Amino acid sequence: MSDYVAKTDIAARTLLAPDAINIYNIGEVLTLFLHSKIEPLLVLDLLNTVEIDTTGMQLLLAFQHHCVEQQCQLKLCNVSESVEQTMQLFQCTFERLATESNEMDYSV
Amino acid sequence: MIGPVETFQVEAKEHLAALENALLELEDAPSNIDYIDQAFRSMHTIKGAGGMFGFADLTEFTHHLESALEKARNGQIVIDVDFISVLLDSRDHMGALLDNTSFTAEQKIASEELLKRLYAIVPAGSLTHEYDANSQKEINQEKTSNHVFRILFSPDEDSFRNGFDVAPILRELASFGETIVTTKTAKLPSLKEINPESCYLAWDVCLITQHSRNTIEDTFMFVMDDWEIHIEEIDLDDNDDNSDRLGELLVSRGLITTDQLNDALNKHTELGQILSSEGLIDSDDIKAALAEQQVTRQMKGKIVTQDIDSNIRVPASRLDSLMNLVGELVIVQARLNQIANQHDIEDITAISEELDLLTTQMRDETFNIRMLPIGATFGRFRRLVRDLSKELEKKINLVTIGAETELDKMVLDKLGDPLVHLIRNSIDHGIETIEERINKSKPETGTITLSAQHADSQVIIRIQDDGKGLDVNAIRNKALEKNLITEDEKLSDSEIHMLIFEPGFSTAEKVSDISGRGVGMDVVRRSIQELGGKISIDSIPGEGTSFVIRLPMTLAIIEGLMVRVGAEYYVLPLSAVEECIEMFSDQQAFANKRLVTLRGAQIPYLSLREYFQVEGERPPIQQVVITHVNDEYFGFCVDEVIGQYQTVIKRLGKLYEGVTGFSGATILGDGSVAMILEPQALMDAATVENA
Repeated sequence: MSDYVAKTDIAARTLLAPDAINIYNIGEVLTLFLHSKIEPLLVLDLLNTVEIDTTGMQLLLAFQHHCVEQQCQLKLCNVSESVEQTMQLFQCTFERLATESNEMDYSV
Repeated sequence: MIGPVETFQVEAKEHLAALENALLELEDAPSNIDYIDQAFRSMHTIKGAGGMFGFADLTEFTHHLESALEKARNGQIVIDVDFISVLLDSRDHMGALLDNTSFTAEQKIASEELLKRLYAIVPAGSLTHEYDANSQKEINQEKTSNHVFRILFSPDEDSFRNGFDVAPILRELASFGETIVTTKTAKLPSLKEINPESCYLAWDVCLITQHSRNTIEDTFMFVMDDWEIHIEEIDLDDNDDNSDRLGELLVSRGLITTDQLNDALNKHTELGQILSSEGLIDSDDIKAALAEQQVTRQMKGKIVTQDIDSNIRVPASRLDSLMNLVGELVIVQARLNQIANQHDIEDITAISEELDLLTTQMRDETFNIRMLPIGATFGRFRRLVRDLSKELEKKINLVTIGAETELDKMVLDKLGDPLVHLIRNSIDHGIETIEERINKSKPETGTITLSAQHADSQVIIRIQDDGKGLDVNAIRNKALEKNLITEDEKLSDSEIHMLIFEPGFSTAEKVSDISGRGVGMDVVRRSIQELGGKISIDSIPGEGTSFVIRLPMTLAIIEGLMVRVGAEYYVLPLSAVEECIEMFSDQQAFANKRLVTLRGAQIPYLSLREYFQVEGERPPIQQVVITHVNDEYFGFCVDEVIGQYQTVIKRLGKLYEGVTGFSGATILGDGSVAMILEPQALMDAATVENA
């Protein structure tokens, strides 16, 4: 099992934490946080995600489905060129956060 | 069962063999674009699949070669011996890289050195920037009109765990033309239940391309057995207006029924929206169908379903197991036949006869599954001849005839090494140097002909060279020196030729890396004999030498001669049997000499009754089966010769591995066991006993 899968696995499980308002910074791979009380919005910060393979793509799609079911928005930020190319290859589209920065302010 | 990575490694080796062949052909015909394309296809497949299985270094290294080949294809570099040499060496290196997913320290150095050699021919800068989908597209294009394919594939759930990645496949498909990709997420569980290592996705790809269906199928070559893959070509010539309607498409895909379609149409709303909102169909399916509808409308066509012509890769051990079971079946059938004859019940006899026919067909089919053309083995020798002739500064052309001749896989596997040695000998000792050939008014280029043909149940393989032929005097002198023969021994030329197969014999004045160590020819003969075959030599001084190998087509079945001693039955391989003679009781008086006279010659024999300590009285007239093995005649004294007998060989278990004299056993119709004798081993045992 690659490190990547292990870490995204953690990411997926952490999302299910009951205290969903908190910000989750998962290792160096994926940071996600949920502004559920103010605005139903899930942001996946891919700052440290250099590239993704099909398992990563599947996970992004799972997040997308989850957000549709939960009626919350999903937005990505800090998408690398390589991740962008992979998304184009799969012809999958995800909404982006308007401002992206290396120093994301996660405060609500 | 072998895993997907092992399957890739096995298949990549086949592509490497094809690559070698294409490069060798290209060396002979540098202007033939087909050979470049062949080489390119092999490299491209290895590169694509290598990336899919995590062989990143192999992929990157192959990419450089591929780019160099592209330059050659475009006429930007000259295809000469140096270029082919570096590609051939790189091809060998690719073989080594298949063992690991990343470079070892030595492999890294070797890779750099090879690329340095490549860069010396093709400037490095011109190689690195061109790996993109468009260049791939151009290189691979088969110049035909556009096709539209619908490609549906669902990886199995363990695909990710097994190291598969779908991205390289989509990338490869994108390199063939324009794609519309729909990722189907219907089976994707909730985040709570998802296991990121399991694959829940499927893909529906609409591809507009100039490539053929075969090229697309090649993309899935390594996953064909494990994934659900369906490739359809949309018929662009069909003008049926209904063919590109969404409803028709969804019905044709089996996603909805005609009734559901009609119900939805009656609602006068957008069809896809209705079907999706009513939960009849997944929105991804609608999206995929709409993509196809869009393309087909553009291309004016409709879908035609074609079947995938697929092959199944089966481990050889499974075929052995199948063969063994068929062998058991043949034996049970023989017993049934015997019982049916004994009881003379019409119904059972009829069933037995029918079963006999089916069993025979099944046995023959099973044998055929194991048969492989010898061409793949022949292909290995082209490189050997090329490299050795360059090393020895000789010019040699290898001609192969009868590459389609089929042999049992087990025989083929064991045949490679003896053939390598014979060819090395022909190159090293047979074919003269260029100067010698010119002096003898021979063509500068020597020829080695490798041919194979069927003759009855045997395959005859001939390795023929037009070199200097065997030196009878040199062989004789060397044999005297090694005490293999005595001064007063009178031997024919052909008998002298056979001395080269004696252990430790070599007339080479110096030991070279190529041959001349004096151990090879002995091993060659032994290997051939272990395969149940024979080797002979035909040589004419100044004109050349032919080694002729006769092999049984299979090791799983034996053409034997059944004999009886007391109540025991034995089978001798028919290939070794020369003739049978009777031995009367007065001749048996001299039995202690263990010699029988045949046309004036004294032939030693072994009494199987004595050797196996079979109880009972000797019959007044015994039979001696004369065999001919290793140019020696030897007899086996038996009570009765039953006759020719074809049977499936049952290997002796591990418990009997150390027992010599038997190559296996067979079970007779009445359930009794008949041992299959190994004449050479029995001769050796008898000789030791006599000594």
